[in-house]
Amino acid sequence: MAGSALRRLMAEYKQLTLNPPEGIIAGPINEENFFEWEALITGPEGTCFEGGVFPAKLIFPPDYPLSPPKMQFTCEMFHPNIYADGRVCISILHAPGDDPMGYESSAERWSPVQSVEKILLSVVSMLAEPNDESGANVDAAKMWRENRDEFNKIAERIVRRTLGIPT
Amino acid sequence: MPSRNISELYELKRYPQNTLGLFTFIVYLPFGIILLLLRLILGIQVFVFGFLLPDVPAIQRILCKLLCATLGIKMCVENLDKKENVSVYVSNYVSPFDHLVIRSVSGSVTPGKDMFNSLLTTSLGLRNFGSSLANFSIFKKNIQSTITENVVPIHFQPEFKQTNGKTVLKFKTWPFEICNRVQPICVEIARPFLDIKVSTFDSAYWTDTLAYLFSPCTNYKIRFLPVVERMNLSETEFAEKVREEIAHALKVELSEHSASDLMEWEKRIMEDVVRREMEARQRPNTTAGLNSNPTIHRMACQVKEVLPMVPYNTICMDLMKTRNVDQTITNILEGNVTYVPESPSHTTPSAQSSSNVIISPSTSKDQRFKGDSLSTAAPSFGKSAQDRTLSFQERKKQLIETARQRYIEKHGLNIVGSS
Repeated sequence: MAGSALRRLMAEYKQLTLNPPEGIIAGPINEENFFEWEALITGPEGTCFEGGVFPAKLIFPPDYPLSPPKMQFTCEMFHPNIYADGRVCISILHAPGDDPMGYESSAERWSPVQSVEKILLSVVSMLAEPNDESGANVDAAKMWRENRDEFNKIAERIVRRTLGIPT
Repeated sequence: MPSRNISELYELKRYPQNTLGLFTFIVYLPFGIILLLLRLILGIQVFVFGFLLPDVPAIQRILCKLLCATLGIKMCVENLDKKENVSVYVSNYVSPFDHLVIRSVSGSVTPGKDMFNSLLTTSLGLRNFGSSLANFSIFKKNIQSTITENVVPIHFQPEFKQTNGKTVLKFKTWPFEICNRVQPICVEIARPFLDIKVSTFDSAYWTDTLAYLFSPCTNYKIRFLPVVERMNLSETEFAEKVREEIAHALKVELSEHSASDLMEWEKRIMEDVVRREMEARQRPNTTAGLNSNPTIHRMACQVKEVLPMVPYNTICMDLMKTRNVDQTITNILEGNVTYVPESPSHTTPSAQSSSNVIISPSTSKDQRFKGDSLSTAAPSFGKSAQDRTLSFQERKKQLIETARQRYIEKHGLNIVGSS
């Protein structure tokens, strides 16, 4: 079980090392534990998160790829689909059947043909287009709907913080 | 998410997977087989008795003990003095023979199917109250009248689904509608010396039974907990209170899942397996020769687990050359093998298109060395863990630095360089 999880993770690591999508990098923090990864995601252009490089951590279950990994941003984040503690709430991180946020069944779910790369790309599009119906962070969802300027300001501050630029 | 994944509530492999466990298992194997045969002979005799002897309480008790002995069940009741004569006992559900064990310590019966004849059914601790599926109201009424008339105590396992004991599932509440006073019982199960799991994800009743016969012994630890009264709680609150008591005594967490969640999960996994088998059968005949080679087939399955979108034939072809799982994975990832990615029928179109992207060899080799691009590709994948980690750290730093420079340029900030 763990053997095939390891092999698959190694294959994905290799794939992501040689052919990563632009602005994304991911790999195990320490190869002694291949089930804990770190990822950096660049905020998509033309959005309020443009230019930021957001660190996150991915925790894989021993039966990966049958079950999805868990993902959590390790920097400060303010986004409708990210909990205050950084946990990411998107459909691809949930297997069909468990439906904590009441997603529609049509949304893309975890299955073994998905991959770390797909998750990270989904997170990039989530940064670009928040889904304000699933409110992991209710305050952020409300601000996104009602006070976009203020939201953009907060996002800008977070972007600067991730780059180590004084705000 | 706070609670355990559903998959953690199952054992996936029955036999020990580590080297020491495996070694013990192999050493034990001949003894196990002899034990299994002896117990089978004993079991057959018990069954013959079960059909010949009259159905009276004394015989039921003897047969119950004999059945435990046959299955190698050793019971250890921690606090028999705490046992009270209530009409309903409630326990967690960790093995297919919980009812037999509870029967022998408390004399109760568990609602269930008929086994062979009435004497054997009762000795196993079961009683047929009618079919819960066909007519639930009659089933419930039968149980209710047994409780009110106090003929025999009833034992419920309101989880209604066996787990590996790492959690207590959500209770079904109907048993709590028909009783006011229950004594919770904790059941813990262990197999000393040899860690053979009681049940696995896809095991059947008879394979579980064989595992009982084969194992040196199966220890049940039973603990009676203080009686819980309904008072004026609703049945949901009453059920939850009992569940908390049991989980607390077992020192495990309360699960958010219920039996039906587990059933759905199983169904999904089984569908997956069936789909794979169907795909395997639909493969053209040209691979008949490949399929007949079990080694290649086994290795191909391993590769397929890692790279589900590569066609089976392609994997076999490459394995014929390499005879090595890792080498074939490398060949596929490096683009030395050409293939048309296959996508399972149930994925959405967007997933299909991107699964091509994931696995197709890179076309962006020349982008790699552009300093100002945000590409994080490495020129090669290091051979040692140390090389890879170094390169990973290096590229992370590079990405942040490039992003920072870009940001500064774009916003015309007056900050020079970086730390």
